[in-house]
Amino acid sequence: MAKHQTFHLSRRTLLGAGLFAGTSLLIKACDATPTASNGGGAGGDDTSGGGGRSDLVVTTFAGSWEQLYRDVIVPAYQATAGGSANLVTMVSLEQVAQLTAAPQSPPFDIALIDEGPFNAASKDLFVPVPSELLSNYDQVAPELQSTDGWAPTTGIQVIGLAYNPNEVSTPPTSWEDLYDPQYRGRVSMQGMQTTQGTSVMVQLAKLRGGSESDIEPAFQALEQELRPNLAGLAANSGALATLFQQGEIALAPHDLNNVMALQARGVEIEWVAPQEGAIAMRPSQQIVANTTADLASAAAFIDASLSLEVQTAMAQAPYNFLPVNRNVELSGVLAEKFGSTLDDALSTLVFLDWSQINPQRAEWIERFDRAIQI
Amino acid sequence: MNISQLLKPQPGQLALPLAIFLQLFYVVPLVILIATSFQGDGGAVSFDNYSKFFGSSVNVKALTDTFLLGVQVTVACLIIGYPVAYFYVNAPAAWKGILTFLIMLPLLTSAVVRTFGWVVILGRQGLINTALLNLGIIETPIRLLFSHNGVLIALTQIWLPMMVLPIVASLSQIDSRLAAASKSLGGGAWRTFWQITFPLTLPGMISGALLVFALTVSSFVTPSIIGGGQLIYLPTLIYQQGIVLLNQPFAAAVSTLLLIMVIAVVVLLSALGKRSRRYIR
Repeated sequence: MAKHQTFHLSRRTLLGAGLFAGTSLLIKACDATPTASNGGGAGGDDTSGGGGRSDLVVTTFAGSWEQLYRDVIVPAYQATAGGSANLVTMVSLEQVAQLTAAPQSPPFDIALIDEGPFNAASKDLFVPVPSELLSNYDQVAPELQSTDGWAPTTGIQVIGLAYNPNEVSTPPTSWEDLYDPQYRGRVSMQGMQTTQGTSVMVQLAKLRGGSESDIEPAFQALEQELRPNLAGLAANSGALATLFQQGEIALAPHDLNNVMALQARGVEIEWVAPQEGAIAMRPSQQIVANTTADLASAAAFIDASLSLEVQTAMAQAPYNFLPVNRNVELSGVLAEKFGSTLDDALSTLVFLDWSQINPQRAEWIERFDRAIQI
Repeated sequence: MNISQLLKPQPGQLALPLAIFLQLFYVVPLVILIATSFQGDGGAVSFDNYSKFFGSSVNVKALTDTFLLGVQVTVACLIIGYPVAYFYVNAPAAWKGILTFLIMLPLLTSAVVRTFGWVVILGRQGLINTALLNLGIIETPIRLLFSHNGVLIALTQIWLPMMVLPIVASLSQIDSRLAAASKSLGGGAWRTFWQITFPLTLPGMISGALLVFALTVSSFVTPSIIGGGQLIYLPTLIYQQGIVLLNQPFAAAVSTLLLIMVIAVVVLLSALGKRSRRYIR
């Protein structure tokens, strides 16, 4: 019996060791796969001759952006370049996290990514877009083009003040209205881990003599004036929407297109651009490095998004993004809020310098968490 | 040892595919996670992430709040779940179908949807506050949304089925003759319950408690939406460090601490479970 036991034990040990060795080999093999297939490309599934695919995997944000991609951008790409595209919805930060985790075998080919996270991300994760492949590049307003060869902004989301007209008789006019004692316990905002939250805090700092590199005044205002007004922090724009819908809050920084989408669903909500300027968030579509996709197809997809037709559709309901193509004539709510041309709109907007914000963002988020904890 | 003996099915052989699967997709990632948590600046092995974690009051508060939340939700689920399970087991057969449906119903809707439902219920103008105001119990709305108690209420409802089902399982295994025997020996209803039924369902309560605790401390969506940004629990911290700040080693350290917390509770409850089984025999 004892002998039997020893035999069992040693066999199990052997099995474990074998499994371990096998697993490590397998993991190594997995790791090496992309390089191997790149090296021996002859045996790959090349169809387009350029060594890549024209059926792209493209990320987008959930909500209006996804709708825009599905209804307008992807069909436009199919019509002009003949390729197809699969959509994946993901927030910018998760995209960067996924790309960072698997830089050799990225899970998608084109990423729609916010300015801040793109600026902060390692540039090895993306490839510049040759501007000769973008026939619509010249129509993009110069301040929305990239100086370093990256793809230009795709569309602008504008952050202003959203309020409930049933509870707020005179519309707010300034970012500083967030501190107004009449809104005690009725204000919300997103936390600093979101692009929107950080943008608002930087803007609040700027109004009190701070800047992208000096957030101190915003924290002072937060602790002394804003905190009594805060009902709570919203985790994301979806949560903010619910709070407005429930009459839980009367005022919050929010972006125009989300507010318009809520209004279309019958929620009592209005949006104003504060006199100091609404903040422009500038997401762009970037081509991911090391994809097996065809570069020309990826560029064609981006080019299709910049075309006059797509940009015109984008600037109308139900999407309501500010376009980047200066030939688009603004209409509807955009014309009402910003004037009839893109240049008019751009002159009123606030652009933040994320290259100054990013190095300090981690520290700010931790400080914000400490300051805001109950 | 001859060939026929070697080829004879061995106990455990059937578990081999599972063992390989778990090894590949569970043990290896876990080891990588824990190894990452000891990665300091420049890739050297260090305890920096842990000392940084315990050096900040926000992080320590997140740890204690998470543990407290886990314990509170578990206790609340026990208090509410036990009577529900008892009622279910003793209900007439005709009702059982409906009751099963009612108990399982919450599991059929996504936690995100249920969470937004709770936002509607817990708000200033929500169901609870309106009811309390109209009944004259309170004069100003109480703060439930964006509070620890709100998260506690929502998570209790969301994980309740995980407590009810194991208790139902252990309640229905009890031999009904035991109660009859107790009664014939002069035991009243309460005495029979506390001395016979309750101890026999301890294993069910313990497995329910394990499930609820582990699920609660690792909940992400509900605490972030109901609690807002002011309440920080470990999963939020992990998300923030790993995804927002791309500080993977620190996120790995927080994950390891969460893992240790769950393992500690599992060990504690299993020890309790062993004792309870000894008590039953």
